[in-house]
Amino acid sequence: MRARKAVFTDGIKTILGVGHGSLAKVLPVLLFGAAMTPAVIMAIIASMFEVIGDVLPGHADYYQVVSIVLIIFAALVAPELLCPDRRNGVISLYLVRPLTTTDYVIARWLAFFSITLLLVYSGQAVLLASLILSADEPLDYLKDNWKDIPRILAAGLLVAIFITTLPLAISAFTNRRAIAAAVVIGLFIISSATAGILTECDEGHNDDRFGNCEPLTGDSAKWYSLVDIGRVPTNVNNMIFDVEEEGERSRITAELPRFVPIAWYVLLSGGLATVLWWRYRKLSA
Amino acid sequence: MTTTTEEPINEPVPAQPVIDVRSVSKWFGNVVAVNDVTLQVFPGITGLLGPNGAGKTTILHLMAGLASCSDGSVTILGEPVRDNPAMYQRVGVMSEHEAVYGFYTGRQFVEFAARMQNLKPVKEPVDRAIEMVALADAQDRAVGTYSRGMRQRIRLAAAMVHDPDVLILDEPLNGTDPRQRIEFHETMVRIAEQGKTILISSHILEEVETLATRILLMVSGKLAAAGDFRAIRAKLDEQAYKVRVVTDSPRAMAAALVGMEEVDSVSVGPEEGELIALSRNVNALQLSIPRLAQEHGIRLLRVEPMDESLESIFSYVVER
Repeated sequence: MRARKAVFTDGIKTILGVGHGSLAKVLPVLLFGAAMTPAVIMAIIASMFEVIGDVLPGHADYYQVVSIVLIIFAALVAPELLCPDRRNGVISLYLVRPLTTTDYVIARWLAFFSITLLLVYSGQAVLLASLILSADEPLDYLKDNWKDIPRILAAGLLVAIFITTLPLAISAFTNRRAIAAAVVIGLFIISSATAGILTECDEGHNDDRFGNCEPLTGDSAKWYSLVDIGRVPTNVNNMIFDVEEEGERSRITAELPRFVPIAWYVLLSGGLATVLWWRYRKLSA
Repeated sequence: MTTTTEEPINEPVPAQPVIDVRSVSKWFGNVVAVNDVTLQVFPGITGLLGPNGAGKTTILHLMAGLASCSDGSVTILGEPVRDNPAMYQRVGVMSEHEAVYGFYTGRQFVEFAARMQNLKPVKEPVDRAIEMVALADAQDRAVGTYSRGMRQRIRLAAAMVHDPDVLILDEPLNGTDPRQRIEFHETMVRIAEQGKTILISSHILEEVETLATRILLMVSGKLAAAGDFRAIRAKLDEQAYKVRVVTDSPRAMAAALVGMEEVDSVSVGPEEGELIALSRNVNALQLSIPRLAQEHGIRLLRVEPMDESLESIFSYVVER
């Protein structure tokens, strides 16, 4: 247990740059600031204006707003937890201790998951606190919106699981942090662009089913919308908050049976976690 | 005590081996790194010798459970070590390649190793391990600022912080200077006197010669010989081997070397200032060369036994 805790603690320190040079601390601080900024701005606006509700983005929108920051954070920081250990031969330090590779991977995963969870919950906590405090009747606001709290917790948990598992699974395939970071960011960009092309509207053809346009790929477009990896946790987030996002692709995704985005999330997260475990299961020093 | 089924060289052996390697082979694709090796290691210091590429690191990895055997089995203290993490509470391993977090201080690094061994509290074992490798004065410096020899020592402290019964050390003397080697030898002897089992690999014969009384010789993935060092050494002494000398005055050095009793022949090496001396008494030669250089005002740039010559010695032993 202490061995796992040692690897976990070391992982937390690595993510935050504790014990490393001052440069290593800059990136997490910047990214943490970037993730908190939308929540702080939303909180300030909420405290300045009485009318909020539909006018301003709320808890459901927060994860969409910070998703870019979370992806960059994950791409840059997660490889730091796995790649240098293999590249510099430090992995044998762990392999010759009373610790399995599974223990090592779980401890590393939990370290990154904890920080990501803290990151996503902190923003939501700031937003929630400001919304409650800026309401005329804070208790009434809480009574009317109490469902937001379990939704924030559930959605944050699912976003953090996905944002943790994907970059770590990719990092298991390369010893170089830069390659892992590039692949993670590239995957999000390419999958988003591919989904965009596959669900693009045929501007010359109107169809009521899709508002004012019909996708070039017709009925299959709703399935192609799942290609966008970045939207996998967002789709589940929208379902948890029971909201429909603005935009053509969201409307197309909403045409799918409700279990499909959830099943896709579970399949991808579970598959990536299995890949990560399998890569380390096979590892020899 | 060490024995081999291939070519035992004298000595009765204790009943229970600490490390028991039976008919082990390891191949990577078409390459056979270790070929049907059987050996046992008993308490005390055992040297695992062989030229680069002989399969030493592979067999050590197999013994340490860092890789799985393609064939055969390895047990330590009667238990399989592969996929048996609990075994590492009784075994300390120091691998050949650098494996140190540069941002940790020496003490933090050893503490980290102690925590991974589930030790609690860690202060006492960490103090003891650091003291044992004589790094108390430098323990609060970042490992990244250590010399290579210091890094080797702090890795050794991390490997033995949990006071293991068995220590497996892959090329632990790499990068150490003569003074550090003496300290390392003293440390190893102290540990061995406590009844521990220490297996040390090296590709340089002289490194292990003064330390291990029993040796295992590996050549081309096979166990070439095993047993008491003196018995094997007696055979090795019949064979001349090469020492590489690099100086700023190769001509003067060659003339001086030729006059030495220990030197059979001297030839000019391919590099600038390089000489290859052939000797049957390499220890005496290595001691004499600095004195000789000083007497003739020659600046020595490098003196080292050559791997190739070691391989020829191993081949010689095998042929016998």
